[in-house]
Amino acid sequence: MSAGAKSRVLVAAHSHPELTKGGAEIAAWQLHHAIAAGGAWESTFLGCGGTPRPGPSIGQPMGPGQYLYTPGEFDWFTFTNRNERFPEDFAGLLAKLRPRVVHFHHYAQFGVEAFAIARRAAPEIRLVLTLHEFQAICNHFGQMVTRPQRSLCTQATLVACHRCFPERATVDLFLREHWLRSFFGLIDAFVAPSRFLAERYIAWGLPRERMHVIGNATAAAAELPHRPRRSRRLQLGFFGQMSLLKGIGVLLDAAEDLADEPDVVINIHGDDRNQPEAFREELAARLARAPQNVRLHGPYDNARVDALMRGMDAIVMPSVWWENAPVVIEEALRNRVPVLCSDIGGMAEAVREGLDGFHFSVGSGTELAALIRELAAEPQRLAALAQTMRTPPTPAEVAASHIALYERLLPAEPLSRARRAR
Amino acid sequence: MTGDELATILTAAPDAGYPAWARFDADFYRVTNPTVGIRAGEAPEAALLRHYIQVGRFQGASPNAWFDEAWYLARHGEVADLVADGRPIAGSGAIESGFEHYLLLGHASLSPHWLFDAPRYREQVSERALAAGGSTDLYDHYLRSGARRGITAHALFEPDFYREANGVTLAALPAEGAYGHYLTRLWRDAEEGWTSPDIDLVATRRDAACNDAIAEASARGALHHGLAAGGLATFPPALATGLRNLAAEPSLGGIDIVGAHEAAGGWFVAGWLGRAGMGRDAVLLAPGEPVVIALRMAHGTLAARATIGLFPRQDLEGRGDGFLAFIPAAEGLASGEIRRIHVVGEAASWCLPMPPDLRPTPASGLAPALRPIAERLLCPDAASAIGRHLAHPVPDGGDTLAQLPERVLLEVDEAIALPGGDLLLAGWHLARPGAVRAIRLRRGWRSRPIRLEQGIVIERPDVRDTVGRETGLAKLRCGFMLRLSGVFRPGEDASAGAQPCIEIELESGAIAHRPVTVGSRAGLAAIRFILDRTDPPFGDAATPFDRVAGPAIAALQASRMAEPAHARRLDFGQPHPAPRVSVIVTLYGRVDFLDFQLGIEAAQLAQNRGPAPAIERLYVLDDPPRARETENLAAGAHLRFALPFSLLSLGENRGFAGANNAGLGEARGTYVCFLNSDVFPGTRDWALRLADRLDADPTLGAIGARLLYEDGSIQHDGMTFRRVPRVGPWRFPDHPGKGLRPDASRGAHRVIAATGACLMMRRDLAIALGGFDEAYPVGDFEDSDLCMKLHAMGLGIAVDRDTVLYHLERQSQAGSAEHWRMQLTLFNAWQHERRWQRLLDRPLLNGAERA
Repeated sequence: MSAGAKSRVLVAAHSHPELTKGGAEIAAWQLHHAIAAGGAWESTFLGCGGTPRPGPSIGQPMGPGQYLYTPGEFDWFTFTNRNERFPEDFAGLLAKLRPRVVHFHHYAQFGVEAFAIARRAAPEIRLVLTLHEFQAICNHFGQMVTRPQRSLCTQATLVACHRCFPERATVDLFLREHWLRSFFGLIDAFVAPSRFLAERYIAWGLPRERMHVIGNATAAAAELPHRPRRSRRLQLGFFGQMSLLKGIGVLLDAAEDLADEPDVVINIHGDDRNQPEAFREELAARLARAPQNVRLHGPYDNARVDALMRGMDAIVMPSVWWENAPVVIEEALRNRVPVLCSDIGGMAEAVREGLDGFHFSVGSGTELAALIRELAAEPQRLAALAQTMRTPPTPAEVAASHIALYERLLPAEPLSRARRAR
Repeated sequence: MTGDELATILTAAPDAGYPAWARFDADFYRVTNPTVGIRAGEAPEAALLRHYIQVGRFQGASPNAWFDEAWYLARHGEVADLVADGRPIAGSGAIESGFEHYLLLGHASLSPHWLFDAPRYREQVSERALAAGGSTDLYDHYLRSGARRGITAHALFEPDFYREANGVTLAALPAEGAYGHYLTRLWRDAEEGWTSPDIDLVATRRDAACNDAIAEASARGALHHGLAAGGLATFPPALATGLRNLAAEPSLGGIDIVGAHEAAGGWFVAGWLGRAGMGRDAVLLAPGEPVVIALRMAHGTLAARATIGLFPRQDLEGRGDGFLAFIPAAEGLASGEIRRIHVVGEAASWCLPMPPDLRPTPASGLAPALRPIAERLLCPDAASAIGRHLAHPVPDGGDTLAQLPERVLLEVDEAIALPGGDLLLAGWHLARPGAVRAIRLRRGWRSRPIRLEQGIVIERPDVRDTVGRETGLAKLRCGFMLRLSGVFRPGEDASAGAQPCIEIELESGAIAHRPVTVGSRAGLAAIRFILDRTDPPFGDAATPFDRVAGPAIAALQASRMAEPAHARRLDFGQPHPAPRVSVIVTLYGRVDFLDFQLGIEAAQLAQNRGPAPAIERLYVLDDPPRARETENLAAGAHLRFALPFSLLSLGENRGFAGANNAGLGEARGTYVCFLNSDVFPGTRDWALRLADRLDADPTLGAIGARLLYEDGSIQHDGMTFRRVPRVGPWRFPDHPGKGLRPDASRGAHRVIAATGACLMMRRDLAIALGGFDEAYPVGDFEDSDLCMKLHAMGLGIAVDRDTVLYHLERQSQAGSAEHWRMQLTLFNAWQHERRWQRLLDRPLLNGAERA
């Protein structure tokens, strides 16, 4: 392929890392950068966010090389984008950039119709969609936990979904599914960051032959000077949102069980500012009467995550939902810190029992406490994991996997030939 | 003409193209030629015809009652000359009779009979009517249709007058109407009816010349004598002496009081009858003698058998007697300015001029004025009958029920004027059993009996527990709903004109009135009211629908749909220039389904990566208040999905059939597919696949798809019918296999009917059938009705089991708790069964088994 005729991918995410810190937009952003840095393909980033302005809905408020779509009216039940400017503006962007692949990292904000718009605008464009959680399958924020009890759900059926959402008639739930599936029919390749997620979507009806498991791109570990450990106590770290589903309650249950254990410190690097007020009050009350072993550090800047994690003997991930491919686990592993996690879903897949860390029964603070007590007694068990722990792929490796996928999707004919034919 | 030629015409079949007046009438011929001999073994008809051909026509005999040979020759002297000379005419050889002349030439302009005035008839009938009727000439037209319709074809024969004056019912009239009735009675029975108020039949019969003619059989009656046998050469006004022109007669009596009484249903006349020409002690009219009184008015004549009584009047000094008469009146000739009055008895008649200064007495003034006279009548039967009529109270728009000597309650909750002139009444009635003799509805001159038990009887616990308890007349089944036919003239504004009232007559003879206010309910509101009140008892759903609800709703619905649909069409994108399929979707309620349908369709089409299929999409919004919302939604859908479609916003709700038909009117595809808005594409290219099926099998009239519920079980795989005895005696559509998982069978499968939720057929066929029948008001049975129409044409129905769509059958539509909606289904079932019972009874219909 001659210079100047590089293939381009448009990486589209439903937010922008400068605006929100969700896993999907960060993964999309990392991938965009990794591809651009690799040089084989060109990449353009299209994020979402900002305040609506009159006129075009897609602009460049963040500088050159990337675009921002400012969403309008959106139907979160069916992921329908009712912004009437979008079809024209999105098609216009595609005509201008002429990407060979549009890689969606979500369909929120864009709406699933965006797939059809892209197909209409340029039928030769290949469409790739990375699935970040179970939004299409589950109307409960894509988490596949029941509402309101929040117990784990293994299969979405109209009856089960209607039980969670009695205000939605089963026919409307059917329409939602039929609608999403119809537009998913336009996607040439799905990317699942975990095998677990892939299987859930295959069970839901996506074709196995279009499903590809490629991990998310995460940043390379920071270059940090080695600092010797100053504490002889077992330092455990919780990183992330202090939410019910992230299992903060399970962690505090374990802390209470461990109140008599002098050699364990539980460090909470977390943020509860996005949580519902009632939950925050409840959490504050629990933290106030938490035993001495709990240290609340509050929110952290992601740039410091490597430094913070390296001070830990293990990272705890007690989520009570399935998780997909948690960034926290990748961050822990790149810093060579083992992970103690719930024994389900994306966590259990990313953390191999006895190789990358240890599992405990999901939701069980008692079992987590027992595990921690064992590890405090036998710290060499954690140290031994350094021999078996996997190393997360580098961003360049993730980018290469994606480029290989893109090229498999493209017609065998070189682009130049296609151009001559036109 | 040769005898054979003539015989051929005279014996031709009625539909062979010869005029009605050219058929030989053997009965007539036998009666008018009683001496004709019939050979042993010969058929009488053949013998009589042979006689006419060989003998009669040369001797002035007529072949039937419609042609009078003798009069024809006498009237048209030049024809008589032709016949006498035996000269040939029109290349047909010599003519031997007037009939042959009329057959060959005369029918174009000449009158064939003394009672048919050809020039006059030509003035009455338009050229277009003559041409349209399929008749061969003027007289043929009269005999085939004009006479039956009561057209006057002679100055002295007024068909309506003839019927009323002689008490001939419409049902008793032959095909040739009053004209045929009169002539047949004349030649068969030698009986003569009174044909015109301008003839004084009695006086004419007293004429010596006339009597002689009748006795000698040269005339069959007075009119015949006057017009024909007397050698009359011209028509009135130059009447021959045998006929007395009453208008010119001197007065034979006088009129003192005259007045119409709508409530009593007739006219009262008081005056005197003179004795001129009779002995001083002669009895003018015998008690019980049938007397016809004719009121000659400016616009017609009211003639009827009257109740009449005489009383002595000193002031006349023996020159005559006083009389008081009641003449029952029917609407139409009931009112007007009276010119004169004829009183016709068996042996005497009078013509009474209307005094120029005499004004008719208003109804309310008749009783005070006439009661003293009635009391003086000599005949007690006449006195009591006329007294009863006089006692009839005059409704004055007030409610007089409370004035009855005993308590009678009757309440009309709702009165609905039905299109076509019927009146629907709903209410309740309480009275002591046996107290009421009759209930009538009265409006102007019209009065009709109300028989509550012939409508729907309705349980009214509310009435029983309130007024019923208070009055001691408690009765549960005291409610009623009934339909009275012909209360208004078709098209008449029910709120204008006379107000109807209910008249209650007790056994004691007391009469009271209760005015009825015709409500403003019409259209769907009226249909809904009727259905709300229709709650058929178990096992007898047919009665209320047969008697009241069925015909009433049918009339309301027909009138509702007679108004053309007002629609606004918006095109989103360029419609396909030559669509193969037009998909017609009606929107009601969930207009957002448009978004889902178009989106899913667009996503599926985008997966094809091919050119746009030749499909036209027509959405019909049948929910007028939501027009703006829907148009905005449509605009957004078009921007997002880029599928061309059109939106038709109806100005008023038309129902499933009406809305689909509005779409059909706009469609341009070779095929149309009626699609519910809650049906969503499953199989890709579903519409083209269904069209392929129709292309492949020309014996198919329509094809549907296999429809699945959201859970993947069968919603529709073809319909059959089943009875639901708990609900009514009719058949209801049934969906075999509904709710089960789809079986493995594939291909186009013949069915009795397919749902209108997804039904494709040729557009020209759909248009020829008028689309869905709008006689079904809201949403069911019109699809099976359409399928039955196709079956009746010998075309089959199929369901393509290879083509699957999803039908999210709305619970709100399927199981509506609203009573009237359920009853509406019963109405539809009632109508459907009445139409298709015979077809539905068949075990096999164009390849589909009833199962």
